[in-house]
Amino acid sequence: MAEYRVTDEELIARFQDGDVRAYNEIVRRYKDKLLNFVYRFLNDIDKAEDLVQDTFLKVYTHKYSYQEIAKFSTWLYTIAGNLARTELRKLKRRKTFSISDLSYDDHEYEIPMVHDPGDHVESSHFTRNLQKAMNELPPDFKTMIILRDIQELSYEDISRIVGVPIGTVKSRINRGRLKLQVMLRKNK
Amino acid sequence: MKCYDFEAQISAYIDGELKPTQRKDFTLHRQDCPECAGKLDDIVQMLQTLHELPVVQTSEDFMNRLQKKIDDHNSGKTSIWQRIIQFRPFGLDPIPAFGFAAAIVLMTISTFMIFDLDRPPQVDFDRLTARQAMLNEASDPLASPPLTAGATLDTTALDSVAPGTRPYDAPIHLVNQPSSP
Repeated sequence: MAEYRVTDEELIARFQDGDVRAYNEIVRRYKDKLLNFVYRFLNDIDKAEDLVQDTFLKVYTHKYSYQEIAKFSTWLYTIAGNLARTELRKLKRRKTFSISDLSYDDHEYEIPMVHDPGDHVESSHFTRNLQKAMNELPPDFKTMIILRDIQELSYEDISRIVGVPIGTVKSRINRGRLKLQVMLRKNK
Repeated sequence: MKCYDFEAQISAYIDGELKPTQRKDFTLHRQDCPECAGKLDDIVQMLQTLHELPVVQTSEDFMNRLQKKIDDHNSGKTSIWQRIIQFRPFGLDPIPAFGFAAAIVLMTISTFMIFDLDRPPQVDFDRLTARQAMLNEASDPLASPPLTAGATLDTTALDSVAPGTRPYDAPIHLVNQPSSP
């Protein structure tokens, strides 16, 4: 018999009723997924962790803001995405005005150590170029590529998270992929 | 199919969303155009690499740091602004709650302004009583002119006219007032 898995929507409903263990389960399920999502925006593992914690803190303090008209994961990714975009804007402004941040680019494209000691650090030339090209994508395209090709979310979920029609999502993803391909060709 | 159309359909092809006729045209163009074929191969390789990017995991003290943030929030170590925007009167979200309160205030003010409830209607009781007295004395109730305070009606003209036949343009003189032409 298949083991019944409590859905995310049931967990948040229990948390809204006061069950803190349900909140802990939500954090356990999504902390790594959100970290991967946010890290691809910021390329800074410490800032990304901080932001993921801020996301979960918002879930804790605004638990009643979620209503079951959309999937819980959509709501969670929307919060994380908004925080990531805000932080990215701050980082870009700081890069423009701060001379001491000139060395920021030195570690910007580093692939981080995976915290699981059993895995190896990935460092191929193509992967580095791909990450570099991703960082140069316009924010709209970058968001779509991360959500679709790294997080592997459906077009419908992406449409709800970003708040644009599905047709626009598909168009931006296609154009983002073509742009990435052109940039990779140039850097070969 | 032109190269522009081929590019526009690359993602749909990868996702398996092309109709059979579109797929056929796409495949034919791929065979005939090395540049477009190269683009498709590059994108497929790129997507494979993106799927295989190293998966990062949270640090060991992630949960402890999150718990600390929650504890700080619960113990009130949050800014005044944070507390304002997190305030939930009657379990409502702040914005609808404040909007509801603002609507109640506006309705209350509007009601007072429209009906002027705090100021009762002003009635000149002296005039009313004088007028009533005059009406009681006069034979033709329609003959009562406006009176100033203290004035009494000279009913001489009225008395000389038969009831129901009084000309309405006949002058009526007030005792304390000069007669007006």
